[in-house]
Amino acid sequence: MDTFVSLGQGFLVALEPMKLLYALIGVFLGTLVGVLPGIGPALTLALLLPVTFKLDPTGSLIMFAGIYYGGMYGGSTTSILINTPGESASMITALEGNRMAKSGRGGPALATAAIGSFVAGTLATIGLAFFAPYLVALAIKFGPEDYFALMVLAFVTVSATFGDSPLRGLTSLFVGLALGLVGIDILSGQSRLTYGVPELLDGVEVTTLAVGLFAIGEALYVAGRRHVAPEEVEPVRGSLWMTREDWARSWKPWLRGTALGFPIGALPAGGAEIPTFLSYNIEKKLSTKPEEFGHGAIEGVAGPEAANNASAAGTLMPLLTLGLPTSATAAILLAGFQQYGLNPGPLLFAEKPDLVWGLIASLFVANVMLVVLNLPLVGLWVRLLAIPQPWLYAGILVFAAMGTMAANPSPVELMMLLIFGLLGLMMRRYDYPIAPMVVGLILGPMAEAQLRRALSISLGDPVALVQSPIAATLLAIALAALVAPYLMKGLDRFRATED
Amino acid sequence: MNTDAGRRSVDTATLVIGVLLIAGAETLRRDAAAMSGGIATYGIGPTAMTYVVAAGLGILGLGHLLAGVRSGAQEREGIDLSAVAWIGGAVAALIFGLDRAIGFIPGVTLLFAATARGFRNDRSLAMSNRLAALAALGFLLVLGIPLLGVALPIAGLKPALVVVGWISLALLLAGLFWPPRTQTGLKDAAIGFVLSLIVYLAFTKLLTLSLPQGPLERLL
Repeated sequence: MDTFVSLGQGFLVALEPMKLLYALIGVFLGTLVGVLPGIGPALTLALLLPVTFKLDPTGSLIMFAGIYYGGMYGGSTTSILINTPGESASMITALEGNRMAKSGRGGPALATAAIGSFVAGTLATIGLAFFAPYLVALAIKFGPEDYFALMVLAFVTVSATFGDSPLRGLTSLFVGLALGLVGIDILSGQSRLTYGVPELLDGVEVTTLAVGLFAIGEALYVAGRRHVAPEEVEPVRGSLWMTREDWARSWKPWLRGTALGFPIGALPAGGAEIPTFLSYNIEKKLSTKPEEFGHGAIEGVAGPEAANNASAAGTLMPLLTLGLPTSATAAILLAGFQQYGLNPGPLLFAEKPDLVWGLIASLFVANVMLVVLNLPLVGLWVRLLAIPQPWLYAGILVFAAMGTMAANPSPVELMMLLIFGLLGLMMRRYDYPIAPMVVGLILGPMAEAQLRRALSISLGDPVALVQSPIAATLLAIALAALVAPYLMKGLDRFRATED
Repeated sequence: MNTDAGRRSVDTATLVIGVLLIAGAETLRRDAAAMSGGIATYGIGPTAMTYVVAAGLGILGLGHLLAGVRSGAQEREGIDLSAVAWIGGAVAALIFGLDRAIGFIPGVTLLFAATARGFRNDRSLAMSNRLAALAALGFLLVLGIPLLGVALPIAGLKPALVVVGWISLALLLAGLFWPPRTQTGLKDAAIGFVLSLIVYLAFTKLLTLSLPQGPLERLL
C-alpha cells in the first residue's frame, strides 16, 4: 500500500503545471533529437543535458525522463522510415518496420510502435513503482563489499557476456576504467593521470565522452563511408490508423514484449538487444502468418518495440535503487543525477521521496504525452528526416560542441571531445562496442570507492570481499559470465570437429 | 581454420591496437609508480586501482597481439579520409579559434560549414579537399605538439604554432569557398551563421549560460 501512497505523492509533484511544462518540453525535445537518423536515446540525453543545467533538480529530472522516453519514440520512427537504427536495440524494429514502410504500411507500423511503446512503458513503469521498494529494502542490507561485487558483475555482463567479442568488449571497458582514474582521488586527495593540467583534476566528464564517441564518432564514420551506404527516407503513405486486424495482431506481442523486456532490463546485464531479439523470435514462431516475417510483419514491430521500451524502464530499476547504470543511456542519466549532487540508491528513496516518486510519476505523464503528441505530429517528424544530410550532421556537430562549451568552457574540454570523436570513429571501424566504455568511466570510480571502503572496514583483509554470501554469489556469477563465452566457443569448436 | 593464405599474414590493425593498449598500460603504471602512495593506513591506497587497470590493459593488449596473429589479415571497407579531414579539421579549427578569442559565432559557423562540406565530398572537390587535408595536418601540429609535451592547455601556444594555426584556418576557409563550390560554401556558412546566432542568443539570454565571446558577441 505504501507504494500507492508514495506514487500518489509523486503524481502531485509531477502534475504541477510547471512540472508538466518541463515534461512537455522534454518529450518534445527528446523526440525532435531522437528522430534524427543515427541518434539513439543515449546521445539524445547527452546532447540535451546542458539544457537542464539551470533548472531545479526535480524539474530537470522530470524533463530528463521526458527526453529519455521521447528519444526512444523518435528512434523507432527513424528506424521505420529510414533503415538507420540509432542503437542496436531498434535494429529489429528497422528490420520489419522498414519493410512495412516500403510496402506502403508505414502508418500502421508507426502506430503499433507508438501504442506498443505506450503500453510497454506504462506497464513497465508500474512494475518499476511496485518492485523498486522491495529492491530498496534489499539494497539497504548491502555492504560496500556487496556493492563492489555487484559492480564487478555489471562490468562483466555489459562488456563480455553479450557482445560479439569479449576481447573487444573488455578492451572498451578497460579504456573506460582508465579514463575513470583521471582526476583527484577522493580518498587521498592525490591526483592521478592529470599531468599538471588543471582541467583534468575534476576527471573526464561522462557527457563529453558520450557526445564524443556517439555524435562526433558517428558523424566521422557516416561521412567517411557515405559512398558505401546512401540513405533514403520512406514517405508515409496510406492511412495512419491500424485496422482491426492490425490491432488483433498487435496486442499480444505488446504484452509478451513487455514481459520479456522489463525483467531482462532490470537485471544488471545491460542492453535491450536481448529482449528485442527474443521477442522477435517468439513472435515469428507464434505468428499465424510467419511467411510475412522478413517482408513487413506487424508482430515483428509490435513485440520488439514493446520489449525495447519495457527494458528501458527496467534499467531504471538498478539505476534508481542501487545507483547501478547498466547501459550507456543509464550512465548518462546517472551523470544527470550527479550534476545535482544526487546519488541514486536506497538513501535517495528515503531522503528525497518527492524527487524519486515525482520522477517515476512523470514517466507515466511522459508516456501519455508521447502517445497523444506523436501520432498527430508524425508529419512534422517526417519532415525533419528530409533535412539534407550535410546540414543535419553539421547541426549535430554544432550542438555537440555547444553542449561541451556550455558545460565546461575550456579548450581542453573540446580537445577531449575531438580525441573521443576520433576514438569513436576507430571503434566503429574496428567494431568495438561503445557502451562498456561509458559505463566503465562512470562506474569505475564508484567500484573503486566501494572496494577501498570495504577493505578499510576489514582492516585490509581481502577475505572480507567474499565473506558476505551476497558478495560471494555475485562474484561467482560474474566469474561464470566471464568464462561462459569462452567455454561455449570451445564447445562449438568441439562440436564442429565432431561433425 | 581459415584458408592457408589467411593464416600466413597477420591482421595489422589488431596488432597496432594491441601495441597501443600495452603502451597505455605502461603509461598508467608509470603514473602510479610516480605517486607517493601508501598513505592508506588500512586497505589499499590510490595507486592500487591504477595497477589493476594497467594489468588489465596489458593482458588485453597481449590478447590483441595473439588474436591479430591468429585471425590472419581481415578485409575492411575503406574510410574516406578527406571527410575525416574536413570534420576533424572543423573541430580543431573551432578549438584554435576559441583559443584565439574569435568567439562562438564565427567558430561555430565555420564548424557547421566545414562539417557540411565533409558530407558533400565528390571528385570535383579534389583541390578543396587537398586544402582541407593540409589544414587538418596543420591543426594536428598545433594541437598535437603541446599534447606530446604533456602540457595540454594550448593557451600558452608558442608563436610559431600560432602562425601555423592561422595558416591552417586560412587553408580551411579557402578550401571551403574554392570553385566550383563557392556558392554551396557560402550557403552552408550562411545557415551556420543563423543557427549559431540563434543558439548563442537562446543559451546566453534564455538559459543564462556563458559561451565563449569574441568581438562579435560583445556587440550583442
